Amino acid sequence: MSWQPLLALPARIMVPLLLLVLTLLAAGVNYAYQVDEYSRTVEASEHDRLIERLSVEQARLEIESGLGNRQQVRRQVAALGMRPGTSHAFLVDDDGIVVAALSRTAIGRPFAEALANEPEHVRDGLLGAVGRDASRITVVPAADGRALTGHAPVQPRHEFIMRVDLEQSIATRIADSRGLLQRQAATILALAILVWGVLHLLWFRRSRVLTTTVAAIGSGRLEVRSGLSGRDEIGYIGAAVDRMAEELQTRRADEARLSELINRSPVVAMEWRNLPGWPVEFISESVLQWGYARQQFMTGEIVFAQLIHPEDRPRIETEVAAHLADGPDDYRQEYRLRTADGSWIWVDDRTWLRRDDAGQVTRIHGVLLDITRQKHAEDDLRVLNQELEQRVSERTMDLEAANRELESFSYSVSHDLKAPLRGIDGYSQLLLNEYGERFDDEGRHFIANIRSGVKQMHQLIEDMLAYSRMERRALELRPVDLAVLANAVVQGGKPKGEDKQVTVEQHVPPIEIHADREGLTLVLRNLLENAVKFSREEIETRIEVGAREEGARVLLWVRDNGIGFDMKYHDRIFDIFQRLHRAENYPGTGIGLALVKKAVQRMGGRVWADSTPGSGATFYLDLPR
Amino acid sequence: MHRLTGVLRLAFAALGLVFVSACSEVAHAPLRVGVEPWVGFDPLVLAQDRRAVDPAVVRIVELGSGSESARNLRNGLVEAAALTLGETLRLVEEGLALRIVAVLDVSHGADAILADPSIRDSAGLRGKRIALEESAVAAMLLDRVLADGKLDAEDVRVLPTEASYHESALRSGRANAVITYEPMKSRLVASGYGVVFDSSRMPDEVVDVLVVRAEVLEARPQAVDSLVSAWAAGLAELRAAPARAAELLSSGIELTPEEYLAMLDGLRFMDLADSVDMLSGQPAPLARSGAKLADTLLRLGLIRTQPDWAALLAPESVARVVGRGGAAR
Repeated sequence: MSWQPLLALPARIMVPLLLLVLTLLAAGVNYAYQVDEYSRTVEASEHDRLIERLSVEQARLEIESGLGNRQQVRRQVAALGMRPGTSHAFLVDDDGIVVAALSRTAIGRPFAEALANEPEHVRDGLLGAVGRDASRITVVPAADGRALTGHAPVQPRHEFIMRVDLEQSIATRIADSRGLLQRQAATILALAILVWGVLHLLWFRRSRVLTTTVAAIGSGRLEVRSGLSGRDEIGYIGAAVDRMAEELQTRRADEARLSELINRSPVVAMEWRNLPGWPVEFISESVLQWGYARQQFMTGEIVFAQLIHPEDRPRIETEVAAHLADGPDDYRQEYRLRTADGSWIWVDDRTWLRRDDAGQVTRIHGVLLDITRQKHAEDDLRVLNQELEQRVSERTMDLEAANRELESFSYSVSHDLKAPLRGIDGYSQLLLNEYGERFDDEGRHFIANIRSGVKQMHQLIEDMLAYSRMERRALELRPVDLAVLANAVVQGGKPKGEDKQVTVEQHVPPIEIHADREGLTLVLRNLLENAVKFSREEIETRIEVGAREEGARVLLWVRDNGIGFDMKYHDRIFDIFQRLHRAENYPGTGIGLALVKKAVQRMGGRVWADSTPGSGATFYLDLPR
Repeated sequence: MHRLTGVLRLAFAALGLVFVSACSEVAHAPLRVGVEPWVGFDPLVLAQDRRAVDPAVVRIVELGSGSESARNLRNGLVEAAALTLGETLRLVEEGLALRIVAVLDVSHGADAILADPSIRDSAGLRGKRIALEESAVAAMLLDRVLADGKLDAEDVRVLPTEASYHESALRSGRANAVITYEPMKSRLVASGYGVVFDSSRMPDEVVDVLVVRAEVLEARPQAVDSLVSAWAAGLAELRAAPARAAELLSSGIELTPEEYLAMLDGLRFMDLADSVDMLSGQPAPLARSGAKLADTLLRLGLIRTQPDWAALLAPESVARVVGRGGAAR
């Protein structure tokens, strides 16, 4: 027998049932004890009653026998049959013949013969009483405790033997106690019904409401509410269930909105299981935009992987395998998909993976966006770019040609200007030497001015030619040891400060870089000359040349303690012909720093300066190694 | 709501079990049946001796006289008794709720008036002392014998004497005549006393019946069925082996087997089929003959009203036993 159905009974049946069963069990156990108790008390009381009865009968029988009234003796013994429990009664004479008995048929027969039809244990008990103590009444219980056999001597020379069956008395007592049990059972039943009624009102009715509500919510009817309240468990649970239903309803509405959003959006949301062929677990309604129905994917009618363009499929499969194996778990892929009408579209698949505790991928989620138009636009843009690049390249070539022409022109002009200038210089020198005595002071002053102008012009032409050469000269990038080069520049072209005292400190480590030696030498020399030129009169000129490696680049600097400049002119100082000071105070052509910038840019480097007026300036060079 | 009835049904089933166990037969003492030492009731004694009845269900208690049976029935010391119909009507008149469940025998000379040899006929009883039991049959016999001898009630002196003292009353001379029945009758005849009048001159008027207290019949119909079956079994035993029955039963009443067998001629036994016939029908044959008896008792002032025969007769038990095929333990 299975107890399962019994254990699964609802509380409204189980509780009163248990109550009933347990109390009846208790009543039953009590009853069993009582039965045992009855057997003992019945035997004791019947024992006393039998002695009492035998005593009375002994006296009466002796009287009747003494009167010789045999019929009366027989009636007296026979009438004992009315006494409940008396099963046998015999008056036996000294010859062992029955003189009187409950039944007339025993009279006149030997005692043993009269008992011939009796069961063995009854016969043995009665025969065993014959000849017992002749002086007093004795009562002996039967072996099984179910009967008592009494013996009373009756004068003259008779024995009265009587057997009392206890079973009937015990059974009567037990029947009485059953009546008690019955009343107890009725009371218990009434109490169980009462308890059931109370529990029904307080608990079961409410729990039933709760059960039906939960069942309704479970079947999807989220608008159902229990309406239960109160401070008991059911009240709390009912309120919690209502809140839960409310929450679920809100979430469902949110889900519906979200679902609608997805379905109306250009994206298709998908979820695949990580199994061969990537069976689809979920796909949004928006797949309709590709001409497919959701069910076709959910039932496996369409295998997603087979929609991928054959040219893209190996790549996608390889990439996915790599992501599944090693991550990262968020990635994007672009590939072509076949739509229901047979056309191909490009999709941008943003994928993320979900893994179990063991790190195995269980689900693959994806949001797919049709980017066909974007792809086409990109293609158009690429073509356009190519065209533009072609055009830029052509223009650049034109410009370069024009530039070269212009450079050639300016070089020719500068070069050609040098010949007449040499004439002016030579003849003005001759004029001063040959005819200097003839001029007055003013005349000699004019000639000196002419010669000063020629000298300045010559310097200008030289600088312009240098600048121009810089443009035209082919760049020769070779390994250069910075320390050696810097030392050579400092030593070889030691700037002459006329009467000034100049100290140059070198902090250049032996760093090898790929650079144009000539260009770099020019740059360093120009910067050193610049530093000396803008030194202050009143103090000793101190110049520091330093360098350090910075990853793949090298930083080179030239620092002075000269007059410095205002940083607002920072950008201007590197432009050609730009000067911050009057030529009378600080002679120059305005080409030096422009030349530096040009040379550095050609080597792929950068130049800038940092300064505070009156506190010196630092020029930095940033060069690739 | 059906769940509520389910729970209640379960509870009632449990309770029912308790009730059923409480009401089983084990709780009952044996059905005690008072019988006087009248030969017409001996089939019951025989049935008990032959174990034709379970002693735990039915116990035949042999009492001294019909009066003693009636007294013990009245006092509740026996639940059933074998009685004359007249005695039964008197008890009913007293308010005792009884039911006649079987007809046992019809006296045909077994009841008689015996007197010393000097008294030859009914008229000879004038001025004599007559010992008799205070019973309906004795009253009827006295009525008839006085009528027969053309005597008035005042012409005789009645000595109320219980049956067990009838012989000694006559033998001691305390009484000149005695209205008695078997086996006292046979013993007195054997001693030389003469029969002045007997029931053979009142055919079908002295009927013996088996009565049960109404509440017992209602509560323990199966025990009553056993009693009726015991009668049938005892009667069958007596009819099958009368000599052996006489051997067993005669000794206790101080008769020889031969005297016992002769005594049987003074009555006619009724088997269960006879009982069914006499107790059934509208009106039942017993009700018809009993009504005449009741008229006599009314006249004698022994009862005041005719009994409700329909309520008194209960043929269901004998009908059931006959339907089952006769005797059953």
